[in-house]
Order: sequence, then structure tokens, then C-alpha cells
Amino acid sequence: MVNFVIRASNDLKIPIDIDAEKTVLELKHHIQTLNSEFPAERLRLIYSGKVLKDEEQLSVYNISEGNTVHMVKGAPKATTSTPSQPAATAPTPEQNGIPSTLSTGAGAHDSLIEQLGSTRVAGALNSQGIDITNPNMMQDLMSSPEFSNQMSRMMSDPAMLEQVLNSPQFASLPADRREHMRQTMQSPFFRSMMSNPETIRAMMQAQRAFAGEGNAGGGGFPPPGSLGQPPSGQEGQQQQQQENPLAGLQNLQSMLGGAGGAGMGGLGGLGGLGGLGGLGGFGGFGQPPQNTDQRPPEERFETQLSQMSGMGFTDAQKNIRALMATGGDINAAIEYLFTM
Amino acid sequence: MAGVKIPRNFRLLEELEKGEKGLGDGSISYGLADGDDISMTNWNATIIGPGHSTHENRIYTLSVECGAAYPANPPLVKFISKVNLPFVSSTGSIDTSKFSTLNRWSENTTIEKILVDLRREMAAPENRKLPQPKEGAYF
Repeated sequence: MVNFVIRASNDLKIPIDIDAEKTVLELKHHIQTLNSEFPAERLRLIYSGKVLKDEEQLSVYNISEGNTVHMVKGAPKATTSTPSQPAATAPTPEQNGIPSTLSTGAGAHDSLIEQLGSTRVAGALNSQGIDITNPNMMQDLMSSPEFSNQMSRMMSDPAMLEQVLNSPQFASLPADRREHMRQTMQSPFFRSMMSNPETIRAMMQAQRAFAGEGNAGGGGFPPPGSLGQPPSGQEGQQQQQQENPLAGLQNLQSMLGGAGGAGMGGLGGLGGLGGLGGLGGFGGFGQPPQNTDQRPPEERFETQLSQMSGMGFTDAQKNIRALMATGGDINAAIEYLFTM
Repeated sequence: MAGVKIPRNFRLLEELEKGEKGLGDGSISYGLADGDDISMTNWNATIIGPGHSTHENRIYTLSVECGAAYPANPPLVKFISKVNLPFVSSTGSIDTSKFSTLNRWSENTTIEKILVDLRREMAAPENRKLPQPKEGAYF
């Protein structure tokens, strides 16, 4: 037996008492059972300047009594949400479009989102001292594992579901409709979608594109041409939303703005889910909103840049310029570099 | 020179103990490459990339070679993981003229201090957004 301390990046210390014949991977699983915040597949352990290899036995590393092993939690894989939801780990045909269960929920979803947003999310965020009006912070938040955990917890909490379904917005719906919504919300796909930062980020982007870079909060209505009819009260808006995706999104934004304060980019993004889901299509996603991407080009073109440097184009600044000129098309960028 | 000069081995043993116990900064780690190396020359080190930068969630591996003249002379520090920083050459070695901790070496400077300072450089405004090679690439 060997005992030592695992030190996580947030300074959390986990005492470990384990058989030295066990492998590093077994140790990681052991850590996961001690603290579910640390899923084994995302952990990396470091001792004495070495990254521990999964297949090695702990004895290889000669960790002595009372020593410290550092632990880093890596970023989640793009498509994973929580380990308990296998549906989210592999791309399924369903994930390319909206499953039919979502599309029938129609206009009711936006109210659900509003409910989620106004009650728990906003509350939780505020209690953590997170400024939801700051888009950068929202971005950080989206990518934090805590966020996806929280979303997923929220979606799987039956009491939460009841609360939502019994709220005034839904109480008036026919029973079969409410039952349907319950099923939808309990479906692993819906949950994984709501707890997948990538999805939410994509929605935020789409939403920003729709909003024409406008502030997500309060009254950003689309140009008159895209509106079928002027909005008139909430009932009217929901009605209208079923006809016009843009209007739906915009309504959501204004509703969300009213519900939880102006400029809630993230929650607006969630609202976008409801709107898009309600209309049964990711139509707005056909064109990735490149021009609204606010990240610096180094990040935006990270994959292209690493490919280009792999091909021998080592001048990062030139590469970025080329990629920016060609909108991220790596082939065109390389041609451009050759002609320069 | 004022003060008592600490013998190389005492000093390195002290550093080794600190590294293994994980005292001090939790974002870096270091230890002997070969635990049986009684000369304590070759060390492994890791730096956990600072947050809010392109280094976030990455682990950089380095080698530190403490020669016979350590700590009077600085160790030879090299990146093993590929990294894009202005003071790191295309082979991973550190241009000491551009990295003040090694450039203005004092024998009180430790391996830990070097690593902490390297990490601070990664997080510096001029470096934190530099595009980085794919993780897992080595010099």
C-alpha cells in the first residue's frame, strides 16, 4: 500500500490510500469514486515532473509516503456532457437535427426556457458572483464543466420539472401536452444538448447573428420586413413564433431580457434553443455566423494554424492574415501565401 | 562572498523534497528523471498551462539539467512539449538572454522559481494569446 495526496488545481487535496500494484488508470477511477467532480477520463496526474501514464503501475513512479500528486482536469470532449449520458458521447443522426419530440413542443418551450433562466440559472449564477451581463464571462462560463454539470443536474431534477410544469404558463396546457413536455425534458438528448457547452455556444452565436450583434436584452426586434405582424402581448407573440423563426428568437430575447436583466447572452442562447426547437429545425445554423465570432483569430483558426505550421508555414502572423483574408479556408489561405 | 555556501547536493535534495511533497506552487511539478541518479543532474518538470490563455488545460513537460556547478550556474532548461513562446527556440531550448530569471541568475534561484516564472511568461499579456501547436507535440 502507498498513501499520498492528490492535489487538484483548485488546491483541493484528496488523501489516497491505494495498492501500489494498481495502475494509474485504476487510480483515476478511484479518484472518480471519491469525488464525482473528477471523471477519470478527463484527469491527468503529475508526479515529480512526470505525467503519469494510464497503463503503468503506481509502483513505477516510486511515490513515497505523504508525497503529492498533482491533478489536472482536462477540457471535456466536444460532444460529451456527463458520463451518465451515453447518448451524448457519440454523434448520432439525431444530433444533426432536432428530434421530433422537440419540434412538437412548439411555442411552449420558450416559456420553459424563460422559467429555467429566470428562476434557477440566474439565481445560481448570481449566487456565484458571476456577472451574466459580461459576454466574456458568459463564454468562460459556457466552457466550464461546472456549468454543464449544473445544467444537467437541473434538467434531471424531477422537482424542478414539476415546478416548471406547474407554473402558470403551463398549467393551462392540456394534460397530454404537459406529459409530452415532461418526456421531452427528461430525454437524454434534450438534457445533453442543454448541458453541452458547444451546443449552447453555437446557439449563442446563431442568436447573435439573428440579433444583428444587438444586445440580447430588451426589445431588439428584427427589421419590420421580417415580422409578420406587430407583437401584441405574450399570447400573440407565441402564436407568431410558430410562424416566424426570427420573430420567435427576438421575442425570446425580449422576454428573457425582461425576466432576468438585460444582455444575458447565455440565457438568450438557451432561449434560442427553445425557439429553434419549437420550430423543429436548425435552419439558422446552415450558415455559421463567422462574422460575429468575436474570438481573436489565433483561437478561431487554431486548427487551421496548427495544420499550416505542420505543413511548414511557420510564420503565424502571415498564416493568420491569410486565413482572415480567406475566411478560414485553409486551401485558399495556402494559395494566398504562395502568391504573396 | 558573504554567507555560507550551500553544497550542491544539499540544495538539490532540499529541492527534490519540496518537489515530491508538492509544497509551494501547485501549478508546476518537478522531480528527478531517474530516482536512482545520485548526482541529481537530470530533472523532469511540468508546467500546467495558466488559465485564460492558449495554454489552458495543457501540461508542458520540460527537462532541467543541473550541472556540477549548480546552483552557482543556472541549470539548462528545455521544453520537451512543443510551445510557441518568444524565448523558446525551435528546438525547445530557452534563450536565456530573453528570459530574465536565467539571464540574471542568482544562486538562490530554484528550479521551482524558474518554472513559476516560465508559467508567468505564458500568462503574460503578450504571450497568452499566441497560437500554440497541437497538444502532445514534442520538440
